[in-house]
Amino acid sequence: MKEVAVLGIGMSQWGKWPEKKYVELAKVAVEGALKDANLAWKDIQFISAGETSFSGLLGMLPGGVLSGEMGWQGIPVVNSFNACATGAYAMDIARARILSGMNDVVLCFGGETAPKGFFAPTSSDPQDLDALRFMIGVTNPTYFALYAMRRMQKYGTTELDMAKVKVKNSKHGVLNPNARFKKVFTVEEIQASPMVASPLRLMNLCTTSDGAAAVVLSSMEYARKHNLNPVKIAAISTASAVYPDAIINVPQLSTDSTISGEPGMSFQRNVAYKAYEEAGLGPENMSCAEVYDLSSAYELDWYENIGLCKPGEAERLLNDGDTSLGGKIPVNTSGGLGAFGESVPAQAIAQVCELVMQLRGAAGARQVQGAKAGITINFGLMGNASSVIVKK
Amino acid sequence: MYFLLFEQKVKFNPKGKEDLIMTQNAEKKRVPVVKGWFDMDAGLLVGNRCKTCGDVFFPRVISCRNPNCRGRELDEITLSTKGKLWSFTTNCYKPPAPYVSPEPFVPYTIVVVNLDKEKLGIVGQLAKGVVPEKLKEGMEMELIMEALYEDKDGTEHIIWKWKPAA
Repeated sequence: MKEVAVLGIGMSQWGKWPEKKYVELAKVAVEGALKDANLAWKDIQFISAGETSFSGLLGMLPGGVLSGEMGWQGIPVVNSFNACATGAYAMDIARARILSGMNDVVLCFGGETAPKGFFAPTSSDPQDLDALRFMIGVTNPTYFALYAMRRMQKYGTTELDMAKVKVKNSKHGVLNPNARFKKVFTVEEIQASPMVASPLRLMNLCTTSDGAAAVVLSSMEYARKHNLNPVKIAAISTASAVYPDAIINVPQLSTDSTISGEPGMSFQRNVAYKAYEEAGLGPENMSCAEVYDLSSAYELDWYENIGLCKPGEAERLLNDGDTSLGGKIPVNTSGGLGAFGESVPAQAIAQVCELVMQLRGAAGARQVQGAKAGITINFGLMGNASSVIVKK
Repeated sequence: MYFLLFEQKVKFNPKGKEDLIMTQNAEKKRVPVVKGWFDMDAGLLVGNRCKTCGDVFFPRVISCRNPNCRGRELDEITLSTKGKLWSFTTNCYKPPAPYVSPEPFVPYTIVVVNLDKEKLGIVGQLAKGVVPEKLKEGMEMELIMEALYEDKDGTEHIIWKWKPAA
């Protein structure tokens, strides 16, 4: 068993504060997690920080910056970047330190203050793939729009279905004090928002946000010694795609060829499959899920990728109310990216925080009754994706 | 041979290539947007094929990407030009640089086509003048070379694009 205990969780509010430094938000999250764990800064033995590329050189060294702010302790600090899956990888590294017996109590955090608008490439040299794809006009929303249009053509997904995902998540988000957008959207408002990349409108896409999240993890032995009954992380999967990958993924302009065989499992499916395998659980054991709704349509893809239903059936799950609070398998009770926007290094940790709250029975108005286990799924670039399973 | 076509003259040069001469008598230069991805004059995408396992790659790779092979010897090949439309989208917001945009911004369509022969998907713009409302998943598309944008001096920057097959 690869279980580790979640002793504490902490989150800043999500918002947009151009004048704030990311470390200010990170401190809110870290101090919150320590308080929640009933531990002191001095109890932490290892720091695993999720890095952000948007806060200059020191943004790439958030672990050290935070350590300096909180007071140097001489403990090891590691920083990692894995696009939107950064937070999960930060937890995976920390978990490995626990499972190997090298440390008992570790801190993972990620925080960011990101710029507005489209992510832009750092170079204009066409030999740089990221520059070339922008020259052709292939932005990040382009990919999500291609997947959404594919759903519409293949499964008959409608604009109304996509709007309902946003409506659902906004209804959850108003109940979440940490959410950036606390407004219930109507289908009419969503459909009135401007088209960004057909079929996705502005309100079908998520924005970037400033925010930070942190968790304090420990070995199960430590938890037992201190008579704690914490929620556990049962799996962290960071599995990549299997060659040949037939899906067109950000920031590629082409796929692998399937000329010599069947497509390998996409990372979108593989990452969840490996998480279930590691936890010894299946989709039928999940009480709730946090999925990466980068677009409203992408949430529907995730229902299928995490095995909640067969391909093409996600719309039925949505329209039957199964994935709303009160339904059979609520998805994105936090409000999702729709209500938060995305803080790249923090978001995967925020997903885990939501599930931990659910399993503790501490989700307040967002509570899923009798929640026993949950799964997060998250998407990064270049094969970085993550899935974390949390259980009581 | 010279043809007078409205206000343009078209000349066939000795190499058999067609040059478009503007009324100002300046030749329109054509340069590829990126080197190594396509043969602009032949109008074909350039990839490579592993000599050991036969897998095909676009753009060209330095060694075979099949983890069961990893061969280091590859033949350079040109790709076929027809495939099925996998998906499409019309971008309505101006991307940041290095995208070169007309002012005011004009929406454009991006498509993904799965080549019939090499069985790989390729992203590209939809050719000028094609109505995106006519697009339907699964329809046959074919490759063309066309200007992505034009410099102030009239130089056309050429890239591959897709249009519905004739």
